[in-house]
Amino acid sequence: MDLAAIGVALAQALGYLLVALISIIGLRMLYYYASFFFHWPRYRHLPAVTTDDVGALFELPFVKIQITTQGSPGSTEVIERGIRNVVALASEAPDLYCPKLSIEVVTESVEQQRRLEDDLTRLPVLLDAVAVAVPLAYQTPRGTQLKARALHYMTERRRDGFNARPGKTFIVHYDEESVMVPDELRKLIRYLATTDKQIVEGPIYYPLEYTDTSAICRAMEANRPLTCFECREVMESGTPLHLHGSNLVIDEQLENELGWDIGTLDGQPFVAEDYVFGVLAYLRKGPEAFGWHGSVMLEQPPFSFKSAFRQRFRWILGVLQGQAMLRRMPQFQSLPRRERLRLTWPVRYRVLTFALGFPTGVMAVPYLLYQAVATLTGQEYLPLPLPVMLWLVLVGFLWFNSVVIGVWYNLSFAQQLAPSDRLLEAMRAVALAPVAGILETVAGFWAVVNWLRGERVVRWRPTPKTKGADRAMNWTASR
Amino acid sequence: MSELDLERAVTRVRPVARLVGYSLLALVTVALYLVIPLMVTLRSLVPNGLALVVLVILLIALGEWVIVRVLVQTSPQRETAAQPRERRQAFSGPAAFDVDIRPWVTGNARRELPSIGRALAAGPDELVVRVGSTRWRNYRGVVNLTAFLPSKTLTAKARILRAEDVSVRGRVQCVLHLRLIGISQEDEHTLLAAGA
Repeated sequence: MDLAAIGVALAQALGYLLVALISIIGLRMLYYYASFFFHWPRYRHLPAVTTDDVGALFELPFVKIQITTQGSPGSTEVIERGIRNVVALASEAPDLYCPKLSIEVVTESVEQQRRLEDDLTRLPVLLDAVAVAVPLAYQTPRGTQLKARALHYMTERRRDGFNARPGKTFIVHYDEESVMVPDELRKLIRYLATTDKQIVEGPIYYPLEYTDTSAICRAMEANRPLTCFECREVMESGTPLHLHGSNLVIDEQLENELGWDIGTLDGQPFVAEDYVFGVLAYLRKGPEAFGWHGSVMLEQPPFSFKSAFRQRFRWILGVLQGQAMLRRMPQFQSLPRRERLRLTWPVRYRVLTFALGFPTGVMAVPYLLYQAVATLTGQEYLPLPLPVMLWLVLVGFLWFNSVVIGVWYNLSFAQQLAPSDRLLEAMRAVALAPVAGILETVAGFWAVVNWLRGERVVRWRPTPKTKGADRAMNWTASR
Repeated sequence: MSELDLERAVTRVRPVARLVGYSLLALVTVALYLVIPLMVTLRSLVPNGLALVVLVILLIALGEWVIVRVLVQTSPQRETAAQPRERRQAFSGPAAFDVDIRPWVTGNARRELPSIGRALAAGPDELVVRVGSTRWRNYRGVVNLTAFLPSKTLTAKARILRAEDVSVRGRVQCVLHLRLIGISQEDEHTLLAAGA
């Protein structure tokens, strides 16, 4: 066999490998788009809900907004931004909202707790707002660490009667940087007043501090909003394939019952406490407890690629930890085989597609460039059978539009930008999409490689929330 | 052309140049990932070059129309969207800011001591201020307001729309709903964005 023939055979093998990789990712994309195209009316509640609408409700639940933070530098400012929007809602009709709303900031930092407590006592409306510091020596019965430790501390306080309220009460979980504008909070309150679901979520977009973050991070965040369509699908079907820790609303009674004492995995703390909580809730309460409220929460992209890399690395590692825990649970083992498969394989598939995005993205670039050069030089060829080529084009279309969808949603809430700036940002995100896609998936790929190599050490290093904090973060110190 | 004019011209042209540059790059991405693969795929069915290009562009446009249709349906429309100021509040600034507030007086009228309060932008031209003193309960005039924002201190006049007594940790305080008057647009923006 001559060298040319070997080259052709190698190219063909690589071509079919690429087709296989793209197909694995493409099937997952079809799942997202099924929700996007066929169930979009269930995704958002667009008609405005006014204060009069809220006032007309037969019974309002009590809503506790819980902001959980490690208290890292820069977090106080972004926490206050979230509080400001809750206060803005309360000030619309203090008589209506103040008796039904409270804010609880849970922090690991005593210094931050003092500073926030000072600010919270001087709010212009009579809203119950407290900052609670988790005692340094506090330990959960199962030795839970990181964010779940703080969450469980609050659960224990509530079990002891802290901020107890009569009637139906929901806890709306915020991350430090989370913001819900009054318009969305009113929609959320109306939903909560009328639902029988106990664990509900809504979409998250990333327009905050938009122009202060690096261009590549903005492009990376454009991949995220489409996944919210999958979130809606899994929440409404009641299978918690993933659960995000912010814009997560839980019935207080259920949260008190379940708690966040999720323990550790081989001595390592869980980094995806939200996913683990969802799985435990499913095992205890079944699929009926889950739902979708559709109110948008706003957050911010990471400021630098290093922060974005660490964030994605933590997601994948956290989910892999959760899966390992799940397999060891007697409750899980006692489930019917079909249900066990339904809880594990879709998650594995999701992780796999995230990780395979890296080699696929890298291999696709030379393939597409070669195809472009061949077309521009007038060569007529069909490298693969027509149905396969059509399939590849379809997946390319879906991938490209996942970026368009993300950019649209993120920028539709970036009202701080002028229309011309938004157009520029949209063009920039689309232009950078191929590079951003590869860079994003490299973190998932690396997390899977590390997991398979047995390197499973984790630390809670929240994504820095200000530019200064991001610069000051010593990334070499830990993961 | 002076150096200043040149600098101004560059400042004006730069965003346009960036928009053009990124638009071209975005077109390259569209060509690489959508247009060319579709052309290669359909070439065996449509050999005519021009017809092929038109067909490919039409197919892509149709696909994008379907996507954008769903996007429009799932995004807040103009009439139901949050007010621009409400959204602006979402993006920056502290939860509230300190103010001092005193009755607006002219001439030789006795100047009263100010009350120190905590304020929050609450609507178009409106502020809610919580003050420790209840003497504002029956006052319905114009007040002088000094807002201590992180970036600057602003002074404005405001009219009290209504006042309510509230009890804070056993102490009676007063919540005032104010409408700003005679404030420049720039200052109003700064005040409402609370020193962003």
